Amino acid sequence: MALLELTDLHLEFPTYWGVVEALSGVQLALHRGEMLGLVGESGCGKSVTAMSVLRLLPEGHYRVPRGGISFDGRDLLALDEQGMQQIRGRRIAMIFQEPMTSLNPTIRVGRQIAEVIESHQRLGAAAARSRAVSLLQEMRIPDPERAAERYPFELSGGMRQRAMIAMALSCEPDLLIADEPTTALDVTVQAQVLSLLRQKCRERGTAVLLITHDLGVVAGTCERVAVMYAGTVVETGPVTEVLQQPRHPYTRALLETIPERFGRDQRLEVIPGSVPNLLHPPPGCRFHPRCRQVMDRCRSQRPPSFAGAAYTVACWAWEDLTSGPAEPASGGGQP
Amino acid sequence: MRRKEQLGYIWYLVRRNPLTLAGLLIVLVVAAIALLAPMISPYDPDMIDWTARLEGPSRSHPFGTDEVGRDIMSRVFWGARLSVGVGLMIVGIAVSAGVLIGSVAGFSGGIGDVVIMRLMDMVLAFPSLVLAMALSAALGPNLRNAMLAIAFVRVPVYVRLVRGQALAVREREYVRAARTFGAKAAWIVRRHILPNTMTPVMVQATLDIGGAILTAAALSFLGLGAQQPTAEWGAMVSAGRRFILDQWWYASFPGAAIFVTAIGFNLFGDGLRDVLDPRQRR
Amino acid sequence: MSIGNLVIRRLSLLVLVLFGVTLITFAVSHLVPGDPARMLVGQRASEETLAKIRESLGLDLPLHIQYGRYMSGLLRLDLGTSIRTQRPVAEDLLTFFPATLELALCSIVLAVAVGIPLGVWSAVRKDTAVDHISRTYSVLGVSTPLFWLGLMALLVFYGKLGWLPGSGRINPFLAAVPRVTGFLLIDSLLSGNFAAFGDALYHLILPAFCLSFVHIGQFSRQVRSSMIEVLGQDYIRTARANGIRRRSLIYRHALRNALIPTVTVVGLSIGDLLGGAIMTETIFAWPGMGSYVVDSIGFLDFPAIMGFTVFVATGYVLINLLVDIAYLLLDPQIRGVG
Repeated sequence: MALLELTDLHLEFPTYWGVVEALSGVQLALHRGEMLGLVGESGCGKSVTAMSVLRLLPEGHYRVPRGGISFDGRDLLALDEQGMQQIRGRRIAMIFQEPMTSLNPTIRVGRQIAEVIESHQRLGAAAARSRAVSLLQEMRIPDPERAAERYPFELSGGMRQRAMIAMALSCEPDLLIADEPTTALDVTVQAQVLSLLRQKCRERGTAVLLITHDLGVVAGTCERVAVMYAGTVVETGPVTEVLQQPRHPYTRALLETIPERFGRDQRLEVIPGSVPNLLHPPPGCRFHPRCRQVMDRCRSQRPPSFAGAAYTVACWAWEDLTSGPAEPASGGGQP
Repeated sequence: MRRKEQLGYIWYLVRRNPLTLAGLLIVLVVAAIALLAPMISPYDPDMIDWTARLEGPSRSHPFGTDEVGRDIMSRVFWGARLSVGVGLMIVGIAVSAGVLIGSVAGFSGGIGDVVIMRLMDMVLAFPSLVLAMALSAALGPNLRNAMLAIAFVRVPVYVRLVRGQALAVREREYVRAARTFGAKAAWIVRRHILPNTMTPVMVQATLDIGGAILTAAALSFLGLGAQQPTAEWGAMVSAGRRFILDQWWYASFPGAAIFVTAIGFNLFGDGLRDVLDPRQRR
Repeated sequence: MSIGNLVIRRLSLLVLVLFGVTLITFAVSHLVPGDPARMLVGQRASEETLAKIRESLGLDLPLHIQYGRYMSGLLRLDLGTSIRTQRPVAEDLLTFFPATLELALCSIVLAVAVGIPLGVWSAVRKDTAVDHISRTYSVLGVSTPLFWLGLMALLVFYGKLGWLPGSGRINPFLAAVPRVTGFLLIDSLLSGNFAAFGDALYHLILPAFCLSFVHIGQFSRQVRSSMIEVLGQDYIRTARANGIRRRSLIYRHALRNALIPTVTVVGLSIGDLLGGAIMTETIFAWPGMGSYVVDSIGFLDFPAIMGFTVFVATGYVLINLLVDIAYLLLDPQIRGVG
């Protein structure tokens, strides 16, 4: 059984100009201990997906008209705030993109970590603090005792992100959601932080949902990947498979545009058209206006996520090549 | 978003907030009373009637009468003209002076900017009522001087506002570009800086009208603004003060008028600020 | 930059501003139309007296020399002589100052004690009935003419209900309290006169409440908006995502950050309090600086009015300096702790 399962999740934001359909039927499954990358362009809904799991979106400003989120068999959408608070940090933790602003500037780093520990475990202040320090050390922050006494603005971006990882892993959660954790960091630091993340989660058996727009990041760290476009998951599968033999036309087009593939004097490829307006999304398949293999059916009917052996793809072209629409319990995992 | 759409959206936000709407309504009612006072006042505000002294609220005198028999309701209506006019003039003077000084400071920069800002700091070092009081006492106690004094005290707020904008806009590319093709400073100020500042200035001005009316009434109460027997709200409260325990209506109604008018401008100004705050918009 | 450096910068700015304050006051007092000598001595003096005054005060000397003499007088704490009381203005102010300070301090304490929790409550329960009531109160508070509020309070609580006294600081028929600090609350305790203490408190209620009325609304509004801003910050989201309890989030994480700008507002409100004291003292016959200056206005006693202005402005500047320092101490980022 999957650890985290998103079933046909729909999420919308009512606004003055109409309803924005941020998520239209997201189908995703994550298993214990695995590292799943969630990729897509800006605005495709990946952050919204992540935040909706922990219910961090502003209350009252969004609706979930359909679909479900289940974690370890429990329906997360049915939990009240108290129930969610017990899950957060303890069973599911999250780290964010901006290390600059994601830590409280007026509280020392060690104290912030210790507080998370104290919230979930029966440790006293002193014990929590020493645990915080040992976590900082584990995250390879030099001179962890001193570092714990520092304020966030005194640490570099990379160190802050490590501190956040320490905080997130402090209570040994089953799942860590990482929302673009390295996007705001220098490239060299990026690699270090990612490898640290991978190693520490592996050691603890923590599953990771890594959200990023950078295919390179996914290639280096994840086992499986899910590709999102305009509020839906268009393809999932093992990383090597998806990157080398992409199935969905969007993934294919995306991979063709990677700048590194081009020589010095070649023109860069682009995907013609632009991302759909989520206030008035196109009928049928979201990608059809830009798809090279568009068929008549695509214009009017939305394709479900078809499941193959260890992969899924939401495209009518794959209907016959797969064993039918993905059922909730097996979105890409081994049957 | 285009202009018309923008205004429509703003109106939508205003409508959604009942308090802001209420404020606007109050302002309109007060403005109407001020404009129509000569027509809607049941009596001549200065007409003395020895037979009707210190009468309580009644059919013929809904707000009662004062110690020489003048109808308080009519005086309150005429007082609206005075107060609203005074409020508008004070803010008008403060805004004009502030925008002028602020653009000069922000745009020219350097030593001029430093000097101007230090001067503004010095004015702001005084609690505003105290300085306005001292100024109007020194200039001579009458309404005109009170207006000047209150406006003077408000100028630094607008100077700061405009200067901030001027500094920001000055460094933008299109301004630099304009300078390179020889545009004169005054033109740049008018064309680029002012339109950008107008929104925060307008919001601040709306909020300030309420404050100006309150301060003017306060000074009149102290004997520094409108003098007796002018039908000005603050002066009326001051005159009614010694009758407060037995003839409560004398000081209550004019004071309530000040209160309601200030509420109107403040509610509306507040709502306007919330609506026009760039962070609020989607 | 270390704290020491920042304080030094603030102090030098302070000196500059105080200089400006005296300059403006001097300029204002010379705006007075008409004969300044007559202004200083009153309407009834003879020509001879006027001439003598002009000479002794150097009124025929160039302006900058006059200013110099004014400044040196200030440095000696000489604010001139009141026309009305015929005493040095400085002495008068010192006599009446404690009464005003006592009133002002009680008002601030009241405003903080009520306003801040109200603001927190309002932010946390945003857009509910509590929030709307609190926000409405804030706007109402700012729009209320203090002199009218005082009169209405007097009418209701003293005139109609008889619950609270309407004037003065203390019942004149009680045993007199020996003046040590000038603060009745302290002096009565010092002399063991608990009846007087109670009575003084009793007299403070109405004026302090009126004076704090506006500020309760201002503080709650400031706290509310700071709290809302802080609650929307990324680090609150992080704390929440890591399972920190709501109560802890609000008080430990959000409030301490939200209180920082609130400190500034509290400091600034002291200036308004001093202005408001003028109104309140008049209405409640409170023998403080406010009443003094109102009487002086009626008399056109310019030395007293200007002396009051300089005194109040200087106090205000000093308080703002203290607020700035407090701000520096509270925000570690500005401290540059290393």
